[in-house]
Amino acid sequence: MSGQRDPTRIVRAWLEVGATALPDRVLDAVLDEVPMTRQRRRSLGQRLLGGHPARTFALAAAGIVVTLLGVSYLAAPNVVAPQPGHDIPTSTAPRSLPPEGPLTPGTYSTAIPIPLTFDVPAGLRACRSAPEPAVCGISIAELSFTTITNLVVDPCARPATLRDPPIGPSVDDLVIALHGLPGFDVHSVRDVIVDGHAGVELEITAPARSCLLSTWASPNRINGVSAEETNRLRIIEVDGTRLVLMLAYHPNTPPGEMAALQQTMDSVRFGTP
Amino acid sequence: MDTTLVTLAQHGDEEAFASLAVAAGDRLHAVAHRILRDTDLAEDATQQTLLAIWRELPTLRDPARFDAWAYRLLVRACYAEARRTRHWAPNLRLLPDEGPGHTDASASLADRDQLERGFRRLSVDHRAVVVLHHYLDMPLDRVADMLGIPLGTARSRLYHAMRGLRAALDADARPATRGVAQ
Repeated sequence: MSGQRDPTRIVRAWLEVGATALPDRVLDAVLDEVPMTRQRRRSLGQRLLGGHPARTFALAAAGIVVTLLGVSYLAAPNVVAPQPGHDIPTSTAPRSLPPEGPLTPGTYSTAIPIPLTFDVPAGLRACRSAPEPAVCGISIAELSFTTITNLVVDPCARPATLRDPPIGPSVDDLVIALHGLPGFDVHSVRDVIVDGHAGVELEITAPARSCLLSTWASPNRINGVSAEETNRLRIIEVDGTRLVLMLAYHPNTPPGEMAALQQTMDSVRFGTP
Repeated sequence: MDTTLVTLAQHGDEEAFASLAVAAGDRLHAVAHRILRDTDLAEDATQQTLLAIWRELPTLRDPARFDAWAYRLLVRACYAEARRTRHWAPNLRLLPDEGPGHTDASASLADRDQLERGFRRLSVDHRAVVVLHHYLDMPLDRVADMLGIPLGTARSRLYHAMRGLRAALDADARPATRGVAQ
């Protein structure tokens, strides 16, 4: 009887059997055909937008808005159409993000962990409660800019113990490691392009239980989360740094505050103008 | 994978692409062979995949993700080959013993006959998940990402596929019909 055996092991052994080398004639046929096969070049729009569907949609939407504004201007040049996002002055030079305090709407920059710039709408404040810079709402929701160097072994353990060996340096290494964080639910995973840099966005939600939860380590601290807290992470490789944009929120975070933090997150670009 | 080669090939360097094809061809073919269970179909799928890689390379945003992207193209090619042919489902052809695992006593000849039969009953969707996870040792979240399906769907496919293969292994002993498909 095979019922007493390990089917997974048997299937794995069975899968090892089979061709492992591509015949030369197949490879030759491919290479013969290459000079006659044109490569599909990316359109200007794809190059500008990184080809991401969300960005393509954003360009299309922007095009429609520009067209409509143009038509309305031609039809009634003395009428000023309401413009979305008008509470962020875009003509001002970026200001350095202060450690703490209310923020007037505008463009801000920070050099930690890498130089980056972002637009802040009304209603947010700076809140460097941790070494990393952060923008907060009125509740405890916040957007922070950080790097993650390792994950804890057990989120409930005190003191926290980090993985040994530590996780690898790539975006995928971190994404895979996060999927293995005990007790947490990882969801809404998708590819993203942030200012031309490819990455992954995912959400990780803490369980609804009472222990103090720790999750990962940045160079200066170990991150803690509260029960049912969700961290929306955009993990991007930027010039050798695995940057993490983290929007932390709770089920009761006010929608307006969430929208303002999301708007800030979406505006992030790298370098300082 | 050497990202410099990928970048060069993206910009039309045929020699760089040839190096990529040599480096990736064996692995792609091995996976295609295990999904399709047919030498000719696997060769066709691999050939189509390599040409698709050349054609589509300029659209690859991140050269570091070349491997995952190439496997995604391969699985699509396997779907296409499976749709294009009708003859392989009811037939049975044992694959040649050329892999390192063929001496593993845990996969006896009888097991292999039954697994072959059970595997052929699976859809290409289910086979792809089994091969990527159990042959390439790819974590399920990466399998899901590569196939463009939710993680839960990948888990479900793996569960149902393995249940089918387990049932095939546990089936009552029956004569192994070692035919040759043509």
